[in-house]
Amino acid sequence: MNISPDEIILFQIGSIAITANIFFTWMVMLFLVLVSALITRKISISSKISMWQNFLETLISYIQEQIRDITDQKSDPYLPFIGSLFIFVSVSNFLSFVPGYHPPTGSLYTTSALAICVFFAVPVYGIQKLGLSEYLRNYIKPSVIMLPFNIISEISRTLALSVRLFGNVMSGTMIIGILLSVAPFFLPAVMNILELLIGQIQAYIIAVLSTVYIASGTRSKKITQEES
Amino acid sequence: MQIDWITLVAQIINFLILLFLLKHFLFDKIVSAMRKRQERIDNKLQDAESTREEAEQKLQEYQQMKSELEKQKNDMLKNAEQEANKRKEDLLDDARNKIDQLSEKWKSEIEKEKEEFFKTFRHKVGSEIYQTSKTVLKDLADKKIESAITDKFIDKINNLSDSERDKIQEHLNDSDALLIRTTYELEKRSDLEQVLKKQFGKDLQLDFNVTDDFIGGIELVANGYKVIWSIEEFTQHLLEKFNDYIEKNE
Repeated sequence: MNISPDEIILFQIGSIAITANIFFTWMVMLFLVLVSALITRKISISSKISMWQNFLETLISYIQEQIRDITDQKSDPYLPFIGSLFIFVSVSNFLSFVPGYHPPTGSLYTTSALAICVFFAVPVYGIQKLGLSEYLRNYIKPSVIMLPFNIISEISRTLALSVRLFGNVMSGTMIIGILLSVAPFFLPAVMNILELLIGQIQAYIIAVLSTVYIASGTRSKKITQEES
Repeated sequence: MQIDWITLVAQIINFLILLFLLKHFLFDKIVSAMRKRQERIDNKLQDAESTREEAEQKLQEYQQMKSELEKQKNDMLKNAEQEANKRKEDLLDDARNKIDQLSEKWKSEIEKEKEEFFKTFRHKVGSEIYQTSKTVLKDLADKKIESAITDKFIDKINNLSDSERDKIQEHLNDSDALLIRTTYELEKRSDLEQVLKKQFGKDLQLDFNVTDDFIGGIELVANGYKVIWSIEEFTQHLLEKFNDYIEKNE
């Protein structure tokens, strides 16, 4: 029994094996981009808007609100990154009710890739906001002794982020797999519903945690003092 | 566990591509649409606010105009009332004046009538008394009333006071003609002439005249100054009493 989408090879392009992980990532991407393009093609700025546009606007305003609440800053620069992260994880997990679908978030490679993106996003946003020297000075605060601990915390939280998401999604798949062998009829369906809920919670958690990490990187003492 | 670096890198690239595509197709468009809508709403609100302010200003203007009109109306009403009152007063004054005039006229007419009446009455009474006296005198003393009057007058001339005589003399100096007026034909003319000449000098010019201006009497006129004896003097007294009586009973 395969529980990791990386172990399923769907087809081969030359010497590169296209695993279910890669394939379904593309599918989710394609789905997201197509839906976005279709909805935003007839975008309206009047008070009469389509149901789908309304849905997207509600979703995005909610994400903006969350970013503002966590960072105490304007949401605009962070919205594409955090929004993409949330929407990708959310949709990846949500589509798990489709038969034959393997959520890419169940692969440690995907979650690691997302965590690495967050890992690099923190300094990118930090330097953009504070400048290089001010950002680097954050690592030796409150004293130089803290430098190795700061670096360790930076790496460990990236690791934790990737493993948390992977573990939660994979565990869901695994639980269903085990339950199928124990009680094959109704329980897996119930667990599937629970899995949908957990998937959304995980999407929310990874997005919020990323925001918190980025916010901590873009905040210096000076700014906090100015803001307060 | 062997790490499949290709998958890891591929997933990173996949996410970055997705990030770019979603930014382009989703976030930018939705956010700009939301922003534009917000701006439009803000503009509309601003428009509404300015329209409201304008309306309020207009309202204030109209209220001011209304109050001004009200004031004007009140002023006009007040003026009209004042004018009406004035006119009323004028009319009342006019009416009062007219009434006063009328009553004045009426009073004077009454006075005139009264006078006329008394004149007539006096004449009538005088002539009645004269006639009665004439008859009484004739029956009792077999004497003519005319000669009695002449005697009385001669007596009066004889007994003139000095001041009276002086006054007559004074008037005579201006024109020496002395007029004797009687209501009857004078029989004892020579006696009277004698007495007068004795009082006022022998060169005295005398004119005699019969008149019915008064009743039963004789009159001496010296250039406007008069000495008279007449029944009318008695009737005058009677009339005064009568008049008093009427006024008391009015």
